[in-house]
Amino acid sequence: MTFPWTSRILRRLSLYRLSWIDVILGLLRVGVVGAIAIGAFNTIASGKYTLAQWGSLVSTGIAQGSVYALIALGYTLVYGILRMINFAHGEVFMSGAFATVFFAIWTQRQGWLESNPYLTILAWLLAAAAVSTSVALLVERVAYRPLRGQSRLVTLISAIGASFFLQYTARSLFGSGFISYPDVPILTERIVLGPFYIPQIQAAVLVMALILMGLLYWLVERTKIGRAVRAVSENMEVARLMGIDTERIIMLTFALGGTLAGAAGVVNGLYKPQGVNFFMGFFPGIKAFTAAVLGGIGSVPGALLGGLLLGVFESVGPNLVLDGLGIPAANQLKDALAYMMLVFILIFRPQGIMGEKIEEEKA
Amino acid sequence: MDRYRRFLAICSITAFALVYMMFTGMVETFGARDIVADVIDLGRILIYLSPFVAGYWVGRTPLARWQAGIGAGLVTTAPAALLTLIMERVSMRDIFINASPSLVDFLALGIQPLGAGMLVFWALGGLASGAGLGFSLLPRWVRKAIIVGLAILATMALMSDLVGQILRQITGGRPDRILFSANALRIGPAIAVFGATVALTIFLPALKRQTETRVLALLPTEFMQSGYAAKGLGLIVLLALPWTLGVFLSEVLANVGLFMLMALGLNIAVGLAGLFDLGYVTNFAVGAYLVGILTSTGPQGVGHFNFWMILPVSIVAAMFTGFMLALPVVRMRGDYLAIATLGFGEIIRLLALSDWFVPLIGGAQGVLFIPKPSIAEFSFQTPQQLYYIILAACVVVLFVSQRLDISRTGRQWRAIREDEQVANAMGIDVTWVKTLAFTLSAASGGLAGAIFASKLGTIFPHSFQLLISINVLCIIIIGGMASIPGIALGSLLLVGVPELLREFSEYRYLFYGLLLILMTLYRPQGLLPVKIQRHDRDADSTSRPPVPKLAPDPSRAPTTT
Amino acid sequence: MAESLLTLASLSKSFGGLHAVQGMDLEVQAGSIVSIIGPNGAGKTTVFNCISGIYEPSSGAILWKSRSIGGLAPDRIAHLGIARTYQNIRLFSHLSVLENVMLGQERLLRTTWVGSLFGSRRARRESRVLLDRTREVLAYVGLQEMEQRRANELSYGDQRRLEVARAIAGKPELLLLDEPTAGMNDSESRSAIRFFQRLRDDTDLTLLLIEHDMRVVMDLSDRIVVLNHGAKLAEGAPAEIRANPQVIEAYLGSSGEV
Repeated sequence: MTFPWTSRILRRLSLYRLSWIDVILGLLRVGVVGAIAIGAFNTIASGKYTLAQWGSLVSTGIAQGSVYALIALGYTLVYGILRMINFAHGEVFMSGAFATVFFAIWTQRQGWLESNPYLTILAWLLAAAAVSTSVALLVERVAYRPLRGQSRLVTLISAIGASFFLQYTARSLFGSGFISYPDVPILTERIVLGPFYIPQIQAAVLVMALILMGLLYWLVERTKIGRAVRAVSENMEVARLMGIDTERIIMLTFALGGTLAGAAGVVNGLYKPQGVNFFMGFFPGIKAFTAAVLGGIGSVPGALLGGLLLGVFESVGPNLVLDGLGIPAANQLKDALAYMMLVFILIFRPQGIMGEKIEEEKA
Repeated sequence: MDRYRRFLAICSITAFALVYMMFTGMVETFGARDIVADVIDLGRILIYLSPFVAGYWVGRTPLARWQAGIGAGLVTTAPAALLTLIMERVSMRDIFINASPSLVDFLALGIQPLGAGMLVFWALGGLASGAGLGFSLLPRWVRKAIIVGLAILATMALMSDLVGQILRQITGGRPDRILFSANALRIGPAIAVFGATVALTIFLPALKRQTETRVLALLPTEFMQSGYAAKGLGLIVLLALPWTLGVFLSEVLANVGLFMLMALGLNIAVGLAGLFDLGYVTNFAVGAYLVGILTSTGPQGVGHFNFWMILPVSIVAAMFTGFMLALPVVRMRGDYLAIATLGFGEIIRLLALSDWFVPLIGGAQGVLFIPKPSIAEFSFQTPQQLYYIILAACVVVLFVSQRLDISRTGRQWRAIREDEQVANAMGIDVTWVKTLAFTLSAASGGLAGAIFASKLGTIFPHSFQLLISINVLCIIIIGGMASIPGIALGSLLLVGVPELLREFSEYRYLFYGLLLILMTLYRPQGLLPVKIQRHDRDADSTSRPPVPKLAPDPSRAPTTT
Repeated sequence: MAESLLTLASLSKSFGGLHAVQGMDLEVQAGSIVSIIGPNGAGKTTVFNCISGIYEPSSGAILWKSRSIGGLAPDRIAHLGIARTYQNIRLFSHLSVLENVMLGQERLLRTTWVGSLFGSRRARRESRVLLDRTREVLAYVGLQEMEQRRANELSYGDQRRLEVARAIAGKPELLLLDEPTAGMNDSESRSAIRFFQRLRDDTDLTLLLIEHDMRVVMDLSDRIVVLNHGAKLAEGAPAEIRANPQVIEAYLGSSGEV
């Protein structure tokens, strides 16, 4: 009368493979879940925040999460094919956003933003995508391609190098200050949805991200070139034998990631008043990687889900969890919370929320 | 057709590099530094290096002809010249902060009108690439001698502070005034230095062979071979260094030593055990904050203990955090481990920065008034005195890591670095061995942090950025993983040189990034890689047959030539 | 009747929906040489991976001297005295030959890191013994001249020998050999057969091997187990297997060599 899962649990508890590490990790897991539960319960029980406030936190989180999701796609696509963390991807995102801000300001001065807002924003997106794609391809050509077939860590070192090189190049070129994107006049209102007020700009960010991701999904799932991409990510050797030009597919992957990252840069600039800066890519890059892992690396819908989850958690978490635990100035720890999420995902669920735990075929 | 594509590829790379150096401001910033007084500055060297390289490169292709050589320089410098002409009419400073009129002036060599200046610039580019082509046609030994000569010349000029200081200390007079005029070499000495180095490079090999045999014949061979002689000599030099260098350079040296200490510690995880730890700064922070809080006489101070009492405490605390943070990550794959440790480092920094712990560690205000280490009445105040503490710490960490490296533990680390699964199947408890590497690495991080806090007197969360971890990692990778001489060289190059060249500090991390990429591409084993194969030297040395030591090692033969 | 050294009792292992091994039974007597044969994908290496602890069996038991060891971690298995080689040689390729063999003796060592750090008496004694035994083992397999070479500098045959040296250096009681003669020519595999016979005579080592080369299997084995599609097809002495019509059909028939 035992179900398969009960026997599996019993087997786990048979103390055979259970080392001291498992015990500590188990305690850690219980502690984390417990802390989140207690914090959330306390906050909600205290009734400190209104529904509308929660709503605005969630919508901010969704907007931020859409940006993460767009960046995460670059990580997911590249990791799916080359099994490497493209550490410089955050800088690809930055370079598009940073280079385009000058163009954006110029278009505003020309009055285009007033007279033709949609086309202007589209032009920004295209410009940023062009810059980011070129940077992504350049990095691939210079820092990754010669290392093809080397160990992951060697490529990671090169990627860290590329990341710093790009950051400080941007700093030397454009300076170290923050520069803001111009306000988009048509998107300054708020949408009223029952008790919730959602800034139009945040809704627009989500819509833009969804459209771009939909396009990518269509490209990967429905087109011939997408089939080639999937084949290469399944098994590069076999794909090569089938006559697929794997090098071209790799470049395409970097280009796609770059395009989305560039678009993410503009989207990010649109709703973040403090503007862009040479360092803006590094940590969002790390967080987007978290989102990619969270959603299951290699999966396009997974990146969307992971990005949104991370964004919302990062936005809601300080008030919901940390406040309830009695931690002062919880909002300062927003980033710390995001990194904790990163670390815990890597510890407990490196295969992502949707991934099945598969025993790796070794030996 | 293919040859012309090659030609264009070369030219576009060098042209890109030239424009890059213009707009990142390197040309101007480096131009402020003369190499040979009133003759040439570093900025001009950078500018004309691009066409020179283009010419040289073309010289190594089947296109090697004078027309192609000079043409390469003209093509390389053309975009820069055109951009400069545009820059004069349309200001680009709103976008590119370095696109200033003074840059235009610099490129035009001050010639008016600008068109004429650009023509001169363009022509000089052609000349430089012609020189590059000519250079590529020289025999190899001549090229080598010239390169060494120029490199020594440039190093001497750039390190003029260091060279001048040493000369002053040795002679007691001001012989540096003969060599240098305000940081740059004077023309006469420059020619002399260049000539001497070229001559030496050419004749040294033969000379060296003769003297080496003669000098070695005078020394007892066994003593020389045991390595004690070199070690002893090295130690004497290290002990005497701060007194020949003076206060400012000792400060630089102390910083180099501190980073070397951290690198030696991180090397246990990264170099010996192959664990890519990007959160090393965490341990550094733990050590620093513990010393800060427990010895400070300021508002955050608790207990006002003596530095030497807290030092072991902070090491143990760092070991404990290292151990605790290692537990969840040791099972991860290499690249995930790197990201997770990076995450830990940031979490700790953000926590230190937050208001949550302000009562304890002062938040963004940091911990102030940390006293210098002292023994009874004597206090380690000056950089020279502190240097000895750092040196001693380095020796301890070096001893521990070397000792473990040649023993069973080191072998286990090497095994998991090579193939974790097989190591596990050999009976190695992989989890424990990795945790040990993390913990020991953390201990030396804590040690470095403790010394850092006491040396600086104040600590802020800002001092514990990710950049520190990256910096230390760069030292190991560029010097050579697991290689002690490599780490020493890496610390000198990546910490010492930037401290001496403060005016270029803007480009420090840009060059780090570039170096990391170049190293992985062209010299992944590092500048001074580990050469010798170690085996277990724990064994009583007398019981070991002397054969392997004396016999030429066949595996080393190809690498030493 | 002697108690068997290793017993597999209805051992099964599946990956997702794929049943790599299904209900496999096997008894290995101490001092015997047992071979597992079967076509590619029959689950032979999976059996090895289960025994050496790389995989956790889905069901069934693995008994070592009547003690259940199924699912024990690989390092614990190694400490019990079960050593193995790999189908595609897996040496520590950037380490010296000497160090590779030293690493095979991990289960015999007790030195801790503190001991090595302060040069305790045990550490010094152990490393002396370790070096002696390493040289002895290297001499036994004929690699004594190579001790300072890096493992990946050796020829293919020497690498195979080094892997065996590493495995036997830890004085195991059971040695799992995964296709020890793969990629060898006729004379090489003949000398390998002689080597394993000598090894069995010199030590009281028990051998369990996976092998494709029928001559090696027939010459060397006391018993042969035939696997097909993860299940045991037949078991018996070489002569019985040779005569078994099922085996001939399923395996020997297809490859056509006996």
